[in-house]
Amino acid sequence: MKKNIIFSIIIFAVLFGCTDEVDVAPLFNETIDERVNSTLEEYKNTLVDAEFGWKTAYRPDGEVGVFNVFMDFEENGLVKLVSDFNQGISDLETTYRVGIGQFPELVFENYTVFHRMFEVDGFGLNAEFEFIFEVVSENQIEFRSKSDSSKDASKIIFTKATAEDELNIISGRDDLISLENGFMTSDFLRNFIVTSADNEIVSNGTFTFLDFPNRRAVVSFYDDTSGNISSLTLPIVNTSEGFKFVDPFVVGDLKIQNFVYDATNGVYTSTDSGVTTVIGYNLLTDSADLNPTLFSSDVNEFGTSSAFEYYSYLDSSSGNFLRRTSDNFLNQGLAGDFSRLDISFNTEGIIPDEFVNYFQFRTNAGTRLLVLFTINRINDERIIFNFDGRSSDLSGQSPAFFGMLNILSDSEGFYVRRTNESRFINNPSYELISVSYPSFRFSFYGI
Amino acid sequence: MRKINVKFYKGIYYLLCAFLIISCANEDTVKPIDLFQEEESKDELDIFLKEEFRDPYGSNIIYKFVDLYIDPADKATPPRREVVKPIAELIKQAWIAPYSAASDQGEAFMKRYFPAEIIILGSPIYNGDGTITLGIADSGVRVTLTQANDYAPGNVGWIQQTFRTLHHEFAHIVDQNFNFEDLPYFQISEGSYTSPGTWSLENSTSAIEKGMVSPYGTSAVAEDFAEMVAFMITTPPDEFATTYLNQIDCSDSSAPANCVELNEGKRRIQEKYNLIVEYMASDVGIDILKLRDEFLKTLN
Repeated sequence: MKKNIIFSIIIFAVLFGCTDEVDVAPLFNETIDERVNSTLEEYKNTLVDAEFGWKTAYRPDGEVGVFNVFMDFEENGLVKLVSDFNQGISDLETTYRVGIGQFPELVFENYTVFHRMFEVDGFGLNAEFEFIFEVVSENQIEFRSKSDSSKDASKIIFTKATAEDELNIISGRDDLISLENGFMTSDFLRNFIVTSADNEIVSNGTFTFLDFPNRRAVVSFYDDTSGNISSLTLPIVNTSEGFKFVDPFVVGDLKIQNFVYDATNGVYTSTDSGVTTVIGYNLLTDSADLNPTLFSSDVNEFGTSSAFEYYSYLDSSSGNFLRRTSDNFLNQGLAGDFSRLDISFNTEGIIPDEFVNYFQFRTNAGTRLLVLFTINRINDERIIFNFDGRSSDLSGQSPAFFGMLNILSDSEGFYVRRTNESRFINNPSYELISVSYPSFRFSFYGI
Repeated sequence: MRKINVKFYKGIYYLLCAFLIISCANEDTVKPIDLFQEEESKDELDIFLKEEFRDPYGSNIIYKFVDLYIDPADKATPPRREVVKPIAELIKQAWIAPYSAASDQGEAFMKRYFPAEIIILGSPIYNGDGTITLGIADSGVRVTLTQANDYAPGNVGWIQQTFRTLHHEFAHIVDQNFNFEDLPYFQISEGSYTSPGTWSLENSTSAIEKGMVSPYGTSAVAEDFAEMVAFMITTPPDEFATTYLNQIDCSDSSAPANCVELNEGKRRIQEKYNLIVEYMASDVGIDILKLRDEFLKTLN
């Protein structure tokens, strides 16, 4: 009897368990695949239908500046990109895909500017070339990074471009280079001076800017008493009038952010917070007097020891970059397009039958440029390099390169101090600090 | 009576099972899938790749980035579009054509064994552990070519390095299809293979001392075989002989301090060389020396 009941239940379950789905009213008229495809088609159409394309002010990471990218999506799967990243040299044609992984996504399928931003600086920009659709509207599309799985994954927002945006981005490239090289000047000391309405100096620092790869400015302050430097790194946005700091420079209760270029005087000026902030060359000296706190007897042995054939400065592209080097010096060297500077003393073989001192600049183009000098050593104080007029052919070098020569040949010379930066037992580290411009200092190895 | 009841219940049971199996089939849930439902691309580059690789060799050249082809912990970028066609041409010249010329099957060999998918990446694969990967062969059907963005016309160094990697990966495919008898090969350098993860501590000299042509070759016998094949194909014969085969006169005053060890390693490499030439000819039907000569022509 018990078994009969069990079998009856099973038969009942079998007969009523296979309800045909068609008996249940469908929630949607399309299958899941059809609905997904329809959504993707809609997203693609949104991209393609924009009359003048799309633009984005892309800031992949909170530590870097803002990069402007214009995109014109075509129905055939190609997209044209125009950017102001690294002068647009990676704005290559690519195909794109509006597809689906876990979520609807936009993928730039061939190498272009987004991939360059992705891989540059050891992936340091945290940039992306695969984006997940988040919010889509006619005039704006919000994405989040696909590879950044953190809760606060970086966002990117496309807005519809106007007829002028593409050309504006192209012309903006020149502005960024001008901001970096000071409009082709070989001067090097660029002041950053905040003046109150009463014409009193509120803040006095130096300013450098490097566009590639992080688009960041550095404002540095030299403490005459201690001889130390403090620096503030400020990512920037290029604007049609000049530039702005992404986050304002704050001094006291003043917030300074927007700068306009004054072509007549060759300066950038801000009037934010009711004060006048000017960025320009040679507005004030960095330091007028010798600073005894920077004296060292290390200068006495510098260049005299047979233990070292030469001394080498390596810039930040090297893993052995020495980090006491000031941003002013580093950025001047990067703008001058050399990655290494060797200092050699009393060396034969350069000029027949003569022992000479020389600087050797190793440029990013692979050339080596020699500049010969004589020295004036003031024991326990400093060393002065006097160029003797002989050098490699320096024609074609950038103004920033000559700016670097101007620093090195300054008539007041350099303080010399041994440092503890080197990680190599046999290669000690030293630093040279410009006497006239102490915010220009660099560290190097004895080799 | 009890027996009859049991049979009856069993019969009911089987009927129910059969009913269950067939009754819930819904014709609508099983639909034929059109594998080629995607519209054929009208892109000139895609048409070229279809005509030159998919149609004759059944191989897809995949140059559009799909992150599924790399490990989620790894990073890589796709190639520039402009390098894809010249690299595809090079694949024909420096890979397909040499094998076709050297095989006793002619073109039929590559039509059968050429990988079903070639993934082209613009960068190396940056692994999560800080190392980089230059090439991958997956299950004999897919080969990944990396660093395509370093390609430039006439860049012989790039061609040699890249196709050394490709020939290495294809050697694995040959190995997987023809089941290379590796015991005699393994015995030549038995005891000299490195423990997992330590091959990178070797250098080219210490590798030769062990009877391998590269540090990576010391990592496992399969990698040793693939490296040997790749180096044999992509190295000019004089250079190969000088570097890996020719014995050094240890009585000469200019002989290196590790002369004896080097000679022993070179003797081992010579043994492996002979085995590979024999195996490729008899089992695979490939004259590897002719294959080498055909490949080297592409460098000139």
